Amino acid sequence: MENILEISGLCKSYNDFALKNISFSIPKGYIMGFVGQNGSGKTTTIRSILNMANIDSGKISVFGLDSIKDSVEIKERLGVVFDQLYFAEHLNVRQIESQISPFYREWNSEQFSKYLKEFELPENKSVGDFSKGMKMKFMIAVALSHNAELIILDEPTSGLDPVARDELLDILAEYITDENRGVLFSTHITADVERIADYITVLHNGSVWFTGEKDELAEKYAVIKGDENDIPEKIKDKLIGFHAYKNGFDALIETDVLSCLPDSIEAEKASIDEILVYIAKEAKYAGNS
Amino acid sequence: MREILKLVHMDYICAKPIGLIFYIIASFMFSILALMFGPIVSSFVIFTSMSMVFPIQVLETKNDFGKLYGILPADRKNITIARFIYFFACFFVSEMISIIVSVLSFFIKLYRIFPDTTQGFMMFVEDNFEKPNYPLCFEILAIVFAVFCIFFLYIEMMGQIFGREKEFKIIMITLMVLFFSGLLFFKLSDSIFSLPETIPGALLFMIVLNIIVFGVCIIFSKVTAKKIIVREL
Amino acid sequence: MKIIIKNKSELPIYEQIEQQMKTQILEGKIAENEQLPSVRQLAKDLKISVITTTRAYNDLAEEGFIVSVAGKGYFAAARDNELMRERMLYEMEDGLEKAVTNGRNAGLSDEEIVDALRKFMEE
Repeated sequence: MENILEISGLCKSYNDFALKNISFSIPKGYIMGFVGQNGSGKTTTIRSILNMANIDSGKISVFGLDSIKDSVEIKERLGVVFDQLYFAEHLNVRQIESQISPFYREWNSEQFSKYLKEFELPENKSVGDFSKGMKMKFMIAVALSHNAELIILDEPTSGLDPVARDELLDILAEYITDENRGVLFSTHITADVERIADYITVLHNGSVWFTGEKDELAEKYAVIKGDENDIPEKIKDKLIGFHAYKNGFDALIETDVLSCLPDSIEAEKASIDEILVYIAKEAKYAGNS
Repeated sequence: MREILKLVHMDYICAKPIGLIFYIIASFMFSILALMFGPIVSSFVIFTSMSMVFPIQVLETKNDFGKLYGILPADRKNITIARFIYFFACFFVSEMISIIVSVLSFFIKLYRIFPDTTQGFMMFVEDNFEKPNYPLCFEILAIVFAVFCIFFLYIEMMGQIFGREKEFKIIMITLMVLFFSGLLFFKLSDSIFSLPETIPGALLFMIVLNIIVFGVCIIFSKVTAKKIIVREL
Repeated sequence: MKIIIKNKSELPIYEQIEQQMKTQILEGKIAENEQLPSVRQLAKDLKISVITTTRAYNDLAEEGFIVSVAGKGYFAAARDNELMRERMLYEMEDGLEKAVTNGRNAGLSDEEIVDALRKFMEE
């Protein structure tokens, strides 16, 4: 299976934060959810892919091309959506089209018009006056109108109402029916990716905590609750984010350890949100930074 | 390069909705004044090009174009070079307009609409028109363009490299340096050289000066590009 | 073909798909040899991941409920095929075994268990 995006050993440090040895890949034809707390390094990773940040070490390739040397060629085939609009806000959609279409070999003006209509984006209004949902859809319309093979979205749904978020998922689901395309969807709203992502990479504190099939992660962990004293000794060090409170405790644990637990302890499959919460708790209480 | 032209076009589309109408009206007004009072007035047309230049600078601070430049398939060096060329083009177009207007003014002699041309200021104006000194006129326009353009591009270079906050200080220092060197120049100029006094000579002077300004523009743009290319977007 | 995914179900999504498709094929709601939506089309319609639909289809193909035709896609298998029959027999035996165990645990005699079974057959 060909990879549409490959990151290996990406390291980048700032004064107070560092990406440590990030490695993951997205095979062609699939959607990868990129999740993690705010500040875990998702945006920095994306900026590294786009050659907007200078990396210290490691290699990134998109469509098999090097992200630094072939940056311009990559961007011809790449669509990007950020949480903020990156166009001049006083211009309307047609003016912006006349600005950027010359840069794309495969700009398709009919397709662009079709999306403007489908997303109900007015042609005579300044894009700065668009609602947040409309701004996001405009960035998508641009991304979809030059035959982009990979779409990268960085927190596209932050600040959006559930209707707009659902519409975005519809658009991406339609987009990925072509098996030569790929999507990297970075978000801290895990519900957005929980259903539709094929693969998932969980970032925690600048490192990759998990990367692989989403189904695998979804089945891998469970949240357990009960009386502290009922916990068998041998699994105590396998608890993640253990928290004891007046009426009991809760913690995250791998599902293959569940069989060692007595019936008095309740277990429920963990959602990705819960996984993130318990990882964060674990780091906090263990004194890690 | 074609990519640079596309980037210049991008800046133009960006400035157009804000600055074009003002530019046309201001140029037109100054042109009429020039037709009435003398071709030298048409040098003010050169300054009206700021209305196509200011929007770009203001918008740079308000919007976050860094991400757009990161996403567009364009070489980052070219983005800077294109910016400088766009500014040069704005001034250059204005220079050309001012030359056309000044030539027209010699023919139209609009000052004649004024009833009384025998006193003071109007006599001076009439003199200008009846004894036209084309060469000097063109040369002055070219010099105004050159000084203004180079000064502005220099400020832009300093602003991009060192940050816009320091720009004000840089402008003040540069103005003072220019002022004193200007004084010095005039003291010395009588003995050093005199401007060509024929039309072909003046045209040659203008062409050479414009080429020099363009060269300075390219040099400034490449220096700026080199300095800022390592910066993250 | 109508598939309904329940997000809050404890059953993984691929299993929900498999169960519903099996039922519909057996009940004839999906006709024999009817062409099924591609894995990508189904993923788009249900707004779920492609890997999930692929897994569901793979499992169903393995158990004989659907057939993959190279270059054309997936089709519902003929109802009287051997694999499907074997699978359903296995499910029946599994169900009967569970019924007997549960019945005995509830304190029923073997006769009472057989009576209960008859009742279901008459329904």
